[in-house]
Amino acid sequence: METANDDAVFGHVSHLLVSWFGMSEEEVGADTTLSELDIDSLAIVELGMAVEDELGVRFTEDEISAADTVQDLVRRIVAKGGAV
Amino acid sequence: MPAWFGAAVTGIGLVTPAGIGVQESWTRICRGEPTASADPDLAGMPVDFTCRVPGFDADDLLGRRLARRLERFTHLALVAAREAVRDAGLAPDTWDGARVGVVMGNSLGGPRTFERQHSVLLDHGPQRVSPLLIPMMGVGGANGYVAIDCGATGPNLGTVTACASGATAIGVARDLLRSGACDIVLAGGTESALTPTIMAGFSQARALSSRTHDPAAASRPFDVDRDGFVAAEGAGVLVLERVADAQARGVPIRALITGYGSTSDAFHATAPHPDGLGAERAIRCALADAHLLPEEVDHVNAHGTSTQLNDASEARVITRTLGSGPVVTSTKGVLGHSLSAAGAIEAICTVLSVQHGIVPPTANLVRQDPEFELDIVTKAPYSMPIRAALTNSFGFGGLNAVLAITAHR
Repeated sequence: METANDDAVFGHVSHLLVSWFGMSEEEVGADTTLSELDIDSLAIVELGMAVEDELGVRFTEDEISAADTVQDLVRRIVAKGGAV
Repeated sequence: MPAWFGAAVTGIGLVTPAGIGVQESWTRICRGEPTASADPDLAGMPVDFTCRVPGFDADDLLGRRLARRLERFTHLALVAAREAVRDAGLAPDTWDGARVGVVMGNSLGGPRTFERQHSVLLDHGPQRVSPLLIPMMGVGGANGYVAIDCGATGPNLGTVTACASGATAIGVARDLLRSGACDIVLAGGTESALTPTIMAGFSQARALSSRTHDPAAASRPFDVDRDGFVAAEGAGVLVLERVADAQARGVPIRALITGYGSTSDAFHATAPHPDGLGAERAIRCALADAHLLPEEVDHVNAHGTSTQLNDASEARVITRTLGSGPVVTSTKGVLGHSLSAAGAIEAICTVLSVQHGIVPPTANLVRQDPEFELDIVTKAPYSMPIRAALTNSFGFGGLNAVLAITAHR
């Protein structure tokens, strides 16, 4: 079930990964895992802070894992009420 | 006296205010063209000029994914290390990484990152501080990341001897080859710490030139009108191997590191010993280690910072230990003083001088201090055969490192 908000959050997360973490746009797909994007334990903390700043939801470290896909992350952000 | 041991220099890499890469740097160094200029980051400071590496774009050279996680002193080190490895004809994907060591000099780490995160702490609290703070700012960042970048899993260490750190790294690296602990060592130094706080600290210690009206003329080693050093950034990395290994690989040997003298003045936080006793012993140790007589030293790449104290003390020590024979230069007239990188950058310059028989001029040396009995190259590079050369590095705290570099024939 994808809503307009899901798409908007996905777009925002993709933009974050590209602009802040230095990924190329082609690398960031819905099924790409964070570890494939070199998001390690340190970068997960950074990602958590960036998501909080930009989308207004807070994660604890154990809520995001390097094995998650970008789409997993988007779903959790939306489930927590994150919106663009 | 230990047996003679020459470590072969088979690769070199430079990132300096004179350019990115050995060729660009060496060309400008040999032209004697100063690099100091107004530094926008220091606008409004009492000393507002430095020697920066021009046009260095880490995102472009290393990729943003990697570059964003590293401080600039590590960026400079990685670019220099990659050039050195390429120059040595080595391929990190095929070498036995366990036999490759890394020794990098650095002293100030990444103060820019620290200052930014300190502001975050004060303004937004501890939970907003970047998790990259510690790996980015730590002094050991350069040697650690160089190893990650090229898969060097052998001995790895940082040397911290203030402005002698880069030279100390090369001396220690040579010992790792001599002892058999490594077959290849990447050795050098890096520094990029030109933040307002650090610069204020150097300025308050009265170490910096205050020639703000004419920055290009500010770094003038051994000149009677010198008034302090010009702070710089940069990195230099050498690939060292045993001679037999280099010959077995069939790669050219640029020169040999044949001697290392390391001493401490044990005297003062910033001033050298007035009689230069520590510096003198470092030179004598390097000569003994290299099995060289003073009269065999044809060239000295001096520490020559352009401070009153260093240049006076160093000039007397050179004359006392080596006589007036060797042809002297200080590349700091062009490059400024890149602190922990300087010893490595100057060792590479000395290697190039020995290899090509060219001594670059000391920029801005218009009127040599009449107290100094030195034969210093000015204005244009000087061509001469060089059998052996010394490169001096003397750090705050009276930490001295001298390398002997000998021609490979």
